[in-house]
Amino acid sequence: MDNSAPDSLSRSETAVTYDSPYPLYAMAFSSLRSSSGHRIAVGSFLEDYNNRIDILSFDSDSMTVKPLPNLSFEHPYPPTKLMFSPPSLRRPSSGDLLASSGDFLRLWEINEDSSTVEPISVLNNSKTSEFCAPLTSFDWNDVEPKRLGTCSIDTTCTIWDIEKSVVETQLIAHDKEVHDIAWGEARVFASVSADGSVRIFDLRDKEHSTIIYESPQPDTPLLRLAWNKQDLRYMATILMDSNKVVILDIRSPTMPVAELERHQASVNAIAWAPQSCKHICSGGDDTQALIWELPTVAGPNGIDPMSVYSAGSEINQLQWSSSQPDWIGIAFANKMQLLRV
Amino acid sequence: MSLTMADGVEAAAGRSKRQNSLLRKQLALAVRSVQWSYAIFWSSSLTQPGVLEWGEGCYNGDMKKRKKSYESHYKYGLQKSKELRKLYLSMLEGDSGTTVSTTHDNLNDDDDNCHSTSMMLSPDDLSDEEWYYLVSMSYVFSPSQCLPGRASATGETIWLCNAQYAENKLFSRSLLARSASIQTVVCFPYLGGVIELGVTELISEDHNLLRNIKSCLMEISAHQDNDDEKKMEIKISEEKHQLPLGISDEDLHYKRTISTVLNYSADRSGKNDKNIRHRQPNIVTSEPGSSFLRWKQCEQQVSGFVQKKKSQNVLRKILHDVPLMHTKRMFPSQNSGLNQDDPSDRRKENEKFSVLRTMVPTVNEVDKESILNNTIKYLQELEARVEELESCMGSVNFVERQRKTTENLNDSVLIEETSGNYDDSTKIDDNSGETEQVTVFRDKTHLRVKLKETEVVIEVRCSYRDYIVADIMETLSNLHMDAFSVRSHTLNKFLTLNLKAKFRGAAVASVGMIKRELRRVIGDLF
Repeated sequence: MDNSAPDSLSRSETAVTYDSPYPLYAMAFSSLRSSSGHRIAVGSFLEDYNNRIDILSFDSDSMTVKPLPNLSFEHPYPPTKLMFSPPSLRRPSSGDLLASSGDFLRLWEINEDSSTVEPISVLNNSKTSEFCAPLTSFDWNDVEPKRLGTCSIDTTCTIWDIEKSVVETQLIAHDKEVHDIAWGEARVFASVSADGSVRIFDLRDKEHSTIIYESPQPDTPLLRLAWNKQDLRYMATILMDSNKVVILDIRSPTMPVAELERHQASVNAIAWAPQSCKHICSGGDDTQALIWELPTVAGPNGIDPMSVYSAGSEINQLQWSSSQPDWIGIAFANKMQLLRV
Repeated sequence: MSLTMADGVEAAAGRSKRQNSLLRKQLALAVRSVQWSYAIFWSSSLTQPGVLEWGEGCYNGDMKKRKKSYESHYKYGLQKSKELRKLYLSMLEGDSGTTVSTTHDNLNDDDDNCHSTSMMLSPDDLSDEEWYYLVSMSYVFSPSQCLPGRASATGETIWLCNAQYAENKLFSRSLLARSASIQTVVCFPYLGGVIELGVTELISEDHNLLRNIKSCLMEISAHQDNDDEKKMEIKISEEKHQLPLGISDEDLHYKRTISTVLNYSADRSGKNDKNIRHRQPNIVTSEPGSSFLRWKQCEQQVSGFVQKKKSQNVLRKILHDVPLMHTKRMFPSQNSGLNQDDPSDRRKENEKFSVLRTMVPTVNEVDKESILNNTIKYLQELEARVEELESCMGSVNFVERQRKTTENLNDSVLIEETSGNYDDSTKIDDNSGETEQVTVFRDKTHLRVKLKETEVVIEVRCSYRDYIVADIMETLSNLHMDAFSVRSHTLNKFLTLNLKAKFRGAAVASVGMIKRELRRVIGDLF
């Protein structure tokens, strides 16, 4: 995995690397700043029952990231997504809430002072079975932080009230597996699916949904979805076996406003900048993370990214820290790396 | 063009320029929403009061021809309109050597757009329709002259059908229209000028269509006096979604959803505005300390990436394999309350249920209870039929049969007419008493089908006709069975056929189904 490129030296000075004993997939930045620095959660990716979630502490001044072994805990199966509670969630205790998806939606309370991680709840949306249809992803509503939406391979999305630990509503969202979900507003969310469509739902009228995009070859699965929190007109999605990041404008359904096609292999992860409405970062199988600035007008030769970072291997995960917008986290192989923007 | 990020940093541009750019977008939306060929705004001249001259336009003709892909050519359409305008101006310049004194031109505004198109149009590239649009730019109308002048003077909408045959006095471009196949032209006053739309089809006056177009245009004008650019940008964007941007008019639900989202977005970006502007410069590549390097096109291509592994390996596993890991655990134990806990027993049981399901007609349900219910019903039917048949046949097998059916119910419901039938099947094989039987039943049609695992034993007695054996074989073949032993003879126009067959592959037809099909062939409807 040695990078022979001449720029590897300058990169190593600016990127902070955490080496994990196991391959990593899920990753999340906390919105809280704790005594020891900014908290990051990483989930192992072992194709087995026994997996772990490790909590790391990142100090951006000293550019160090260190694991907090006391806060490491077991997780059944690899978490498909991790997310810390949005800053809007007010809680009586000082601890941070972490949600994970997989066989169930689980909530964990991380209390650094007492060095404990407490499982708060295991949420099962099935009334008839003690098992829940497997979850591919979820999104925490940051406007209404008691609301959390999960999506499943059983074609449904479930909206939870996590304060009461009850299902607020469950919708058959797609014709096939739902791969990702993203909130736009307190009551509006969008989802992508193996059926190749992006649909928008409004909880005030659950009977309807609107397809705002369909993949060009029918039934090319859409894998991930990111809604631009700074400018809710725009969202981004990625397709199976495609090097494209498709940018959509919710006002003009069916027609993408831009397609970012400079990855040399398939794209695995996308994240909008938390502090700017026109920047998005994508990571792919070509080992590169690209930062794009969406132009007002696309040129005839397509859109070039602003900047590029080359990791050692396929980038599987990418998160842009909203509490530290200068930092982007990526996961590849058994490494988690923090990149300064 | 549609990718307008509301950044609000734009330098204070002239009002008219901004208005024109908005107007151009609105014209584009209006013309696109009705799929007409072009839209022109004739504005009143600043130099000659009362005279209408070219203000703004949008050409949509090419997209009309390629209806299929017109969505993706939306951007292209706006671009095309600009290219056409630029071509016109360059031609004007080249021909007369005078500069154009149209104050409404906003070419500077579009400079970057024009640069972004690699090629410059030449007059040879133009279709007749485009030529019509281009030449229209040279027209000016004095009050009450031609269609635009009259619309302006009367303040009314004028709908002109068969424009290509109109008198020159009424419509001065009728000859041009003929070559461009423009057939319908509509003019109505708007913002002190006149909007003109045209299409290559003959369309009779349609008030809904007009209202549609006007609503596209009017909504925007309400916001034009707003000097706060940022705010306006947002309001416009909200307005846009109310236009038929590919959304059907009745889709109020989605409009409401969008306006909720965008109102929220506007609120939020309003609050964060300062924050954003303050922070935006931070995202600049190659700042000292950045992990990212400035993108260089050539460098990237030289680096020649070769993919070793399957694409999106981990992501696919997370979305597909990991969920299956849960379900693997989920299914074995899911029904644990119902039955035995040994999974192999349960698997066998499930297998048998699925066999049963294939045997019993009209079972589409997969749950065990419905399979059993249907089986019971089916067996009752069969019993009734057996009784009925035997009463009219006086069969030698009467006792045996009765025993069999009861046995089946008590014993195992798995395989109909199979278990304990070995003695029967040997009897069929045994031909010694057959002649006798045939004479006994010579006028009786008789059909028996027995199923033993994948083997089927069939006994047919019926009146002979040509090709009947071939037909029977074909029927079996259609039921995915291959006969491996056939014995038949015909006596006094009466066929006796004993046949053994095996199922091809996994497909298993039920006894009932085989009987039904065979009955059809032998022409018996008992």
